[in-house]
Amino acid sequence: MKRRGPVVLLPLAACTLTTSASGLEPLHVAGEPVRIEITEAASLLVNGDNRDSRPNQVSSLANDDWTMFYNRLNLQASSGRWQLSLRIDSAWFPASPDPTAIGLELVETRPRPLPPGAEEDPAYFRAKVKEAGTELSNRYIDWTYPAKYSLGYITPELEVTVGDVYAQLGRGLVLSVRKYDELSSDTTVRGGRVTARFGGGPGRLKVTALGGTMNPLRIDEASGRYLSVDDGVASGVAALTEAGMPRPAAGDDRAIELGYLAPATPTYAPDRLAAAQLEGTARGLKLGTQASLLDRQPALSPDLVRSSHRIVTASQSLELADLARHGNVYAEAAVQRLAVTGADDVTGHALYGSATLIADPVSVVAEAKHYRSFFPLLANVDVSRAREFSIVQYSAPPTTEAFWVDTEFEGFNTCVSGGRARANLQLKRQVSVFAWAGRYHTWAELAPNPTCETRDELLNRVWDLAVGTELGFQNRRSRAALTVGARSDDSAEPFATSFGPSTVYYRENYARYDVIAWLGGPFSLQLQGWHRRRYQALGRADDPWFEGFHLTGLEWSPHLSLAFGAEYDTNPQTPDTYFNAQVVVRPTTATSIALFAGQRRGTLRCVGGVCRVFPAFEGARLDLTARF
Amino acid sequence: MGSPLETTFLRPFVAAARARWLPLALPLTLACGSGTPDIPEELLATEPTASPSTYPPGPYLSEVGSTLENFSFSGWRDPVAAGFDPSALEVIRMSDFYDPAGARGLELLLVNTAAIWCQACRVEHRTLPERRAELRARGFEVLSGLFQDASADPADIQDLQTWVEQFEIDFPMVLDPEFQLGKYGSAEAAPINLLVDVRSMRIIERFVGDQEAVMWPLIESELERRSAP
Repeated sequence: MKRRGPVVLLPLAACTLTTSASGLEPLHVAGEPVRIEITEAASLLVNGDNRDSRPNQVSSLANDDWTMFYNRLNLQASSGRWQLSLRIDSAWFPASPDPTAIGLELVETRPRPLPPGAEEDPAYFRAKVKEAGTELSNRYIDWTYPAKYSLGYITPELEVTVGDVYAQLGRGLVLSVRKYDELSSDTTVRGGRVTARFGGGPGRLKVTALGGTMNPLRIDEASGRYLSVDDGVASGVAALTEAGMPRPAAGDDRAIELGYLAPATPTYAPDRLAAAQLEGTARGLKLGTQASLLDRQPALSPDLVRSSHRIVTASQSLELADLARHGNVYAEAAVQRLAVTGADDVTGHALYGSATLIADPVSVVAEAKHYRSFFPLLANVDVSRAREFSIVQYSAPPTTEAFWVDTEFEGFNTCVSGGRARANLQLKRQVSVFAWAGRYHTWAELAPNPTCETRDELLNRVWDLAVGTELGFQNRRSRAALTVGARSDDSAEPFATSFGPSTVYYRENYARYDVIAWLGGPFSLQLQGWHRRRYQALGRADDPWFEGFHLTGLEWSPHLSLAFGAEYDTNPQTPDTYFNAQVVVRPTTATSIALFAGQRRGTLRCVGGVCRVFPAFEGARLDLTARF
Repeated sequence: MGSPLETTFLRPFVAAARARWLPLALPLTLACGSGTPDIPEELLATEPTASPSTYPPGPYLSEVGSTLENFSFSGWRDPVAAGFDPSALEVIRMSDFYDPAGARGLELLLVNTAAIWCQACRVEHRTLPERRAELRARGFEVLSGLFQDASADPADIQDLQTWVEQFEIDFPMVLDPEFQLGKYGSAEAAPINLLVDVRSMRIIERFVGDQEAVMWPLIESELERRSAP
């Protein structure tokens, strides 16, 4: 099953220093010009000791000392109304951790004296080697596979695509499959989509239907882990859509018996989805009806959503795109029914609304939500063996918070009421100030609350406040944005902490800034940072801690960027400081080469409420991107 | 690591297997291999095998359907009854719950991991004693292992004492500072809950995180199935 794709693709990567992004010379097929564009993105990641090691813990040692060559080759061809695209991903691991070395290191660092009842070193060593074998059984394995492919026929009235398609229906309550570069996540529906448009005057109608099996990205570059399917979970249509996708690493039966490797079991069971949307627009009013049906196999990691063999979600939306040039309004109401295997069905609902009001020099954006037992559509992933993929989901109910907020803990957004309003005051042409206030009541943060009981003992009340300014200078060649904010999260009733009962659940004060100062000619200086003082009663340090980063960058546009970063985290669970440097060279408009060297702290990164934990990084990373 | 069969780690093992030297395969595999460090002699002791009369034989894999390994811990069988007294700690093994003929009156064992930094673990333990008490008469038992403190360092006896007092734990709770239960799920995934059939010590299901909405209905249905004539 091992494929040496990267070796084949290396020459391609090496010859990508192209002079422009104009694409290859057009070919002609049946008299039609064919435009071909190739994008090559190659990354070499050299991971050292990321300093997250803990005594007796295999998983943190398995994060150290590995090298990955990760290649993404995109081919796109278009001719008239036809579009063809193919993305082939390859991962090759020239170096990776060794179970025996992990076992030996754990013996060497084993805290002594041994606790009562502890096994002697040989048994301890053997157990840790086996555990490491399991941990590594789906990491650092070479793969080349067709990550995405599609063939489309596009006219103004009709779009037909076969293969991988992205989709968002409404504001993401019903369906949202998309790419999150920041989270190394890229999910599509592998099947087909048809969109038809009717009417060209004031009244228009758009009908979209799509279906297929869900196709998350299979290789996680942050951990070197991959998602696998086997024939047991990829039968029927999935046998076709999963052709060529990574399979479980099949180990020798006796080796498995001895515990060196986990059995070759899949870590992903492809979910089947059908969805449709009907959108009608007349006189600035847009009405949308959308629904999705998620049909799936027995859960690889049982939980309420993954154990639901069928989830139906439907919504009705209304949008007024222009309120007499004074703003716009959007509202969406959704219902969701989970048919849970082995438990009672769960029915939930969601209401979401947003409004923008403009009365110069003031503008206000307000968003509100009211969710009851309304869940994101989580992928059927074995999170015990592929925890990095636990974030794969096919919907993204709006949070109404700033997109980078990472403090909606546990099931916060599944049983919540609240909203946020942001007011912007334009003082001068290049000077504005803003402030926002968010207020939320959630009943699913202190404890899982799938039935969304709104009792006080489950209630947390949250304030999220911020003020800031956006400034422009030198005809906007220089600009600055500064935000200072605070968040307080209190439970309605005291809960148990390690230092007694408390109602203080979470506190944060922070400052964010992004300053670009034009230095003259093609040169500019960038200062960027986010500094936080945090306190969390459960789950982290007993005392408040500080964490954040500062980045100083110098830009010689468009040829060169230099950046130096410093990060810190005073939480006792982590090292205190991290330093790094990055250089980006753009020899041509179509080519860039980036080198990062140094350390990054492990962190929770969120985009619009979709979050994942990134392990700390220490080492170097070289990225080459070229289009031709 | 490369494709498993091609790793230097397994190469000696595969060669041994082909030569029908399976009994030698483990130490050979550990000891050899060009990219694998040498193993000190003192770590190459033979793996002991359990007597089938006291515990089901291996292999002890980590997957659902596998037999739970016979781990040994230090803890209290009933912390409340022991007055949370560290001098009353005793050795608790998985074999203490093995009940092939039903002589102990047990049907199901829930093996749980907990850490002080883990919010979901705290939430779970707030109701675990009550849940266990409701089902105890039907043959349900819980064994929980505390493995890390607030700083993610190995838990010690003081941590265990604080924990059991805080949540008034009255079911078997042990210290697992060496994280033996890590075999079934990484520390980051805590809490892990393994539902085990004590007749065979086979793992019926594994839950990652506090999954009360699906875990307790499964426990209920398994107990019901076992009590059916």
